[in-house]
Amino acid sequence: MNKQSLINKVYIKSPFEKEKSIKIFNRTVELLKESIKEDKNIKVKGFGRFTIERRGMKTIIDYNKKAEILLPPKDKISFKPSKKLIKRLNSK
Amino acid sequence: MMNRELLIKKIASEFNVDETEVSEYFNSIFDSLAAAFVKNKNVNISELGKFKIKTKPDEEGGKQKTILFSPVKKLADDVNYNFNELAPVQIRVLDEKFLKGKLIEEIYSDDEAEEIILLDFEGGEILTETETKEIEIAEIKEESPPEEILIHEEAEHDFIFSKEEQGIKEDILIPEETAQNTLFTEDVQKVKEDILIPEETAQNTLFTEDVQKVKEDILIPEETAQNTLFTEDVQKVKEDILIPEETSHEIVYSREEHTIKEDILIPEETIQENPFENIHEEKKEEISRVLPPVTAESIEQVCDSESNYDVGIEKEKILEQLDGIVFPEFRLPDFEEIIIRQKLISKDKKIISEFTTLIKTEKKEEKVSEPDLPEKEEETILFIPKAEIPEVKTEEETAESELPKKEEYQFVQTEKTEEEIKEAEEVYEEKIMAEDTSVIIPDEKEDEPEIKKSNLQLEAELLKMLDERRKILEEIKKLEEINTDDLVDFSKPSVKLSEEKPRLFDDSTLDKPKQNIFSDDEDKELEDLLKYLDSETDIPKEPGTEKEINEETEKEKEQTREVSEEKTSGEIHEELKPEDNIEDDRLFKGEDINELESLMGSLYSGNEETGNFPEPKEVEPHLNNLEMKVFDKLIDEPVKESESPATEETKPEEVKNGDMTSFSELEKLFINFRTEKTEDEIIKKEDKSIPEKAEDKSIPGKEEVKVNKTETIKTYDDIFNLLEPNGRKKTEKKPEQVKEIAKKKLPPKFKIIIYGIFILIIIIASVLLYQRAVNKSIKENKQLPVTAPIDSTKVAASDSVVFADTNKIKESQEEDIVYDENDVVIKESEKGFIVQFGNYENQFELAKKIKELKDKKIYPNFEKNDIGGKQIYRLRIGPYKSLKEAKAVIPKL
Repeated sequence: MNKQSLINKVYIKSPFEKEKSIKIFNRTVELLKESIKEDKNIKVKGFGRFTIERRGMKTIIDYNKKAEILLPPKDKISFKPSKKLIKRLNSK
Repeated sequence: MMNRELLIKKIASEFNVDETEVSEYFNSIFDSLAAAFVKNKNVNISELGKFKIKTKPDEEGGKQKTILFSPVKKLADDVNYNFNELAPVQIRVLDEKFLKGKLIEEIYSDDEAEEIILLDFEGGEILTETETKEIEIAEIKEESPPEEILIHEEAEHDFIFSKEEQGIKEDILIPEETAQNTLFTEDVQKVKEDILIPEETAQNTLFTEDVQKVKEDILIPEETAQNTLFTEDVQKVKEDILIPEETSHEIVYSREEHTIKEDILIPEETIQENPFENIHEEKKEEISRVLPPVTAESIEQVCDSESNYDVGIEKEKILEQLDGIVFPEFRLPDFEEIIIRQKLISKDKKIISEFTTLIKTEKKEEKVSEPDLPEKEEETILFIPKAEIPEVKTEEETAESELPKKEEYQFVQTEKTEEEIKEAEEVYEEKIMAEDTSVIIPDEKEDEPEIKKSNLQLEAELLKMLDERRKILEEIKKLEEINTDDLVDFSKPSVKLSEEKPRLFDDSTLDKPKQNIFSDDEDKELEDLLKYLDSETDIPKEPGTEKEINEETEKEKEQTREVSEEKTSGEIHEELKPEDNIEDDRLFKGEDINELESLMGSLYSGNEETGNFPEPKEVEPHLNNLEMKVFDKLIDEPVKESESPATEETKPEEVKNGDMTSFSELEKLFINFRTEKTEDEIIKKEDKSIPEKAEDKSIPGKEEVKVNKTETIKTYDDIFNLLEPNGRKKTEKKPEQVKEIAKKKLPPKFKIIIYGIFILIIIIASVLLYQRAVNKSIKENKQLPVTAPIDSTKVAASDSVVFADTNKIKESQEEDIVYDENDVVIKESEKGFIVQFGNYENQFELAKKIKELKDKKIYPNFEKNDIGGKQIYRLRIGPYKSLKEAKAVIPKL
């Protein structure tokens, strides 16, 4: 499923016109992105939670290079699905 | 933290929509996403990221589905803005024990693993509280890639620097009182390291650097390492190493780098005595034993004595030469007189001067008497051993003033006896006689036999000059034969001979004798030669001194100059005729005199017009006489050259007259001069050009075409226009030929056949069209079910069957309305009862409704009606067998 198909699906169920529904959809995506960057945490009931985790510097052994490699720290976005969604997934 | 409610509020406020509607919208979004996840579909939102479904092993041993989110790179970078510039780094190459699948956590103990310092590379500060770190990263430049350093804090005083980056500049400061044992393993390329190892630090340091193009600025202070071992294979690295005082006792540098330039400062009191200095002093001592020192006073004393000037080297020049000798303390034995003899030998256009030093010593033991040379009986030669005196070779400065400049001179210090010197002189004179050299011997004292020999040499030179002049005269004669009247008159002063071949006489020489082409020396030589010949042949003259001869020659010169001013060239020549008894055939013959007469007559007849002579600079020096004639001819006729089209027209007329035969020859010569081609090629070109010209004259129409072609190609652009991009000539397509080919390919028989085929095809096509038209009229009466056109909304409702042309079907079916309430109509037809409801202008609304009905397990059809120019869709359900069944559906709609 891509963005366009999702918009079409949502539009069928939504009370808005198509143009408006598309604008609202894009705006929600932008808000999600901004909130991830700024607040670094988003919680949507029934769907899941977007969080940012900092992974510290760590060492890795690369057997191909036969060397010990140091990885730098990194901030990474992680998504944790809600329990409802997981139940729904694993129900069938 | 952002919530769902906040999102709804924001959007509702921005779009002026009710929050309930927005919440419904959000619900629909997340529901659709959840539905897709349930169906094991991955969702990709281009601006946000991808949601993937993966199965993981459950705690109970089963499998559980989870959702993984991978954001878009832009979003990930925006989030990870703190550490974007960092990259993974290879710390070190591991041993075999590390490569047996062990993790680093397994290798190190828990304490050591905790002690791994985590550095915050954003600010260059250490995040974790490791107060006892030995290393501080002073600067990390923005341009250079990040450097990752793994430091085991106080790990048994071992430091590991592992760097593999290229183009990294590291400025590392190792603080004082740190590790005693440091290990630097650097695999870095293009790294600039400025490392400062403080005082009182490591005692044992090991630098193993495999770096290329590393600039190291390391300073090793004074009084540090006692035993230093530098094994450096480095090139082009600049290293300034500073190792503090009282630090390591054993420093091992093993460097295999290339392109390293090292500037190492080794402190004082560490360098041992230079062994070369001792050798130098020993040599000095050995030389001083043999040779006493030379002073300026001693040389002046020697030079003041009259007998020193066999060659004529001045006192100052001797001093300069001696100053020029490189060896610092060159010592000579005590001596009274110094005699330096010079010899000039010409070999392969190089004049080698041999100097022989004759030193008079006070010691009688070393003197060697020579009976052959009574004047030089007291002179002795000091044989200086070669082992004690180094060979000294300097350029001779004294001979440069007397000799030509561009030739090379060498100063060769030789040791020869006087007998050998004499032999060498004889050989040298023989060589001069045999070879014609331009050596001028700076002899102040010349004996009689030497004068004779020199006169012979001059005679040979004069003969050569005369041969050259004869050649010139022959060429002039040839030209006079070829060019009759139209050629250049040599009586006029328009001819200027080339500089390489100087003339015998010139006006300037008569007016200003010192500015003659020949130098004064050459004039003197000629006069000397004449006198010598007179003395040897018929007129027996007593050989007087040179001064007397010179006086006589000067007088004769003055007489000749006076006469030349007054008399004409012919009279001069009469005087110069060989009335004297000169028997040498090579010098003056009757023919030569005639030639000279002709030449002189041509030269001196027009003395008045000397002001019109072109300057010698204007004439190209490499021109021959023939070319000069052409040049003068062209100068005499400037109008003809300027009027090029007129000359082209007049050419044939002149050819007819016969006068332009000479002009054509001149033209040939001019072409030959310009293009440097052989005469055969010129003749061939002329042979080709002449018939073309004849054709042009015969056909006046063609003349214009050719002229146009020549006029078009005046610039390079015209040439490029005529060329294809491949560089080949553009081939002009001839349409007439193409037409002819087409005509040839299509004979009349084929034409008839082709026309017949065309007619048949047309007949068949018309028959088929008629049949189709007839069939259509038959089929119109039938009603065939046709599938609906492809549409996203219709595809969803593809279970039903729709007629292609609904209006016609309606008319034909004769449907009766049985029920009509609240826009819901039930129609009765042959097939049954059909429920019709809804009027939808928008297809999406129609699709929505169909979707709702499908959820209720009602599968409607739709029909399209044009009402008032608008397309309105109506939904149809059925057919049902009975009216009750049809009415039962109405509440579900």
